[in-house]
Amino acid sequence: MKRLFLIIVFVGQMLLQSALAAEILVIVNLQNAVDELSHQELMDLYMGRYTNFPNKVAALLLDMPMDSEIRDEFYRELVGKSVAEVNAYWARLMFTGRASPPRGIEDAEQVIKFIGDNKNAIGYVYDTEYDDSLKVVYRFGSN
Amino acid sequence: MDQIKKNLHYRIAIAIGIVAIVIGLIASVFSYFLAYNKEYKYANRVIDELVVAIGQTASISAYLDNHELASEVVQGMTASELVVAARLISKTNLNITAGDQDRLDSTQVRVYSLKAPFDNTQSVGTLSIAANTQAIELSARETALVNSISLASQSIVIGIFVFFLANRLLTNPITSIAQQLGQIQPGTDKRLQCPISHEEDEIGKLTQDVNYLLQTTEDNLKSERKLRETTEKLERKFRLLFEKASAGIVLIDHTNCLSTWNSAFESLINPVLESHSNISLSSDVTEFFENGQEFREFLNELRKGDLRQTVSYELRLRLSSREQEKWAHCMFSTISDEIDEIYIEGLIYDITDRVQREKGTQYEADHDALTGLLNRRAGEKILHASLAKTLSQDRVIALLMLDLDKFKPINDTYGHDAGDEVLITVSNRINHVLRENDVVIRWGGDEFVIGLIVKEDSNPVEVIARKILSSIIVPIELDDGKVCEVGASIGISLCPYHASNLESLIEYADQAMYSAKYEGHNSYKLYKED
Repeated sequence: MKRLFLIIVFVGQMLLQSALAAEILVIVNLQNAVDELSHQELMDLYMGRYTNFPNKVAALLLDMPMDSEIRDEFYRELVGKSVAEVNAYWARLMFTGRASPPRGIEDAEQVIKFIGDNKNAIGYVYDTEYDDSLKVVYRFGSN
Repeated sequence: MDQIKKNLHYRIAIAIGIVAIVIGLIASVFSYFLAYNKEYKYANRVIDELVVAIGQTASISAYLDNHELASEVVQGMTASELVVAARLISKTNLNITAGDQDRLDSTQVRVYSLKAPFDNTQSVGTLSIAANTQAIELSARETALVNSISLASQSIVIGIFVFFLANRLLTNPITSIAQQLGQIQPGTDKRLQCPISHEEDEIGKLTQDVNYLLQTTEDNLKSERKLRETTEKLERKFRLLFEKASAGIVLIDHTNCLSTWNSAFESLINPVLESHSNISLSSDVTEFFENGQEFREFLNELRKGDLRQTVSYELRLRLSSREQEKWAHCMFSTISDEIDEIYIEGLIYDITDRVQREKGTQYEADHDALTGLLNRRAGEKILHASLAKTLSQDRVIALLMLDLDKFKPINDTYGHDAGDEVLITVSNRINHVLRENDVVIRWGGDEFVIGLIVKEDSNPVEVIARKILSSIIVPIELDDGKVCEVGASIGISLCPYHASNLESLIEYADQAMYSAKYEGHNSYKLYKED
């Protein structure tokens, strides 16, 4: 048992390390006119400051499930906050009724599919889950 | 007002009250500024805290240009009574204001920079907040007022307490002492009663000191009264001595004027005074006496001499009418008073009676009781003096020796009384013939000596001798009606021709008289040397 537990911890660590090592990519439809976003522009979009891409085209923001690792990682990378803090932020904004948070999607597969179907959509996935059918506009850790 | 001036405890209480008011005013001002400063800081801190509390929302609203959120922020800010206005401006185009906009233009506006919610380095807007200075001032004023009121009420309580304490501990005992003292006559044996429970303090000491003073005063007054009685008694005696003295007493100042005199002096001097004038301080004492100049010199000499030296002096009063002479015996001595002014004191006795008595005695001694002519002793004295003058003054004196003829028979026939009558009549007749300056002496028995001063303008000696002889031979009527006759023989000697001394002259005249008697009665003869 003890040995099994150690193995599980080891494997878990390995997995975690591989996950941490994985990059998060921000992706859009290939037909989207936007080729690249700055960190600021990305933050302004996801935190509800702007609802449009810099080229004034309305953006459709996609988010990962509330308790997913990637969501947590994404917001830490983006604004340095936990998901709970970001939720509190949105809760405050929701109260005034003027802004709406990004739409939650079940998993990376669904995200990729959704963006493939919708040229105004924007989302994020690990680089391990990415394929060439989409366009990367921002890459965490690259800059 | 009077009450305040009169009562110590009122004054103390009012002084404390004034000090309390002044201190209260200063404290109020000070407290106001202190409170204002404190309130201002407090307000700023509260605003800071508010901003911190609401900051996230403000940042978000600026970040998102969220109108509702921004309104919520600024309204939330103005909800605080410390904030009068708030304005949120985003970098983009949001500008929301709540409250009094004008106040946001003043300088006392706090401006906070709003950071982006997810990026502290990025500013997304500003939040301007105007503090409610009126509220701060009001609050400060309230604090100051409360402080002032508490200080004032404290002062009032202390003032009232001091008022009663001063009244009880200070005014009442002092008033009690003052009242007691007011009723005490200095010099009596009454003393102050020390107020109860003040025996040990300053009031007790004051009472003791005042009592000591009263004691001393009483003692002094007693001894002074005794002294005064003694002095008065003495003074009465002195006055009696001075006023009732039989001798005149005067004090003469340096100008010879009278300084003091008694009634004896006044009555002595009275005959000298004119009926209308009075004796006064300006009366010159030398004016009252004969030989005033001499008297003045005497007084001046006396002043130069030693003090207390007594000198006697006899003076005749200067009387205008030729009634009776008045004489005074004076004793003068110099004295000086406290300021070294020299006075002359005089003790003056009326010696008129004595002088007159002395003069009467002298007359009797010098004159023949029967005829009233000079007697031999006095006559010799006068002749001696007259001869001495003759020598120095170069004049001539004739000496006549007269002897009655046929006188013895009259004595024998008619008796001694008749003889005396004859002698008196003869004497008068001789006097009648002679001049005033001539000297007639009853030399003894029926012998007479006559001294004549021979002057160029006077009758010659011979004529006078003849006149005398012719006057004597006139028959004499006696008291009993009988008539008798006498004659006379006269011998004459001349000074300085025959001799200069009286004895020789008398002797020569005597010899001449005998030769005249020998040659026949009723004749005269000049001495002739053999």
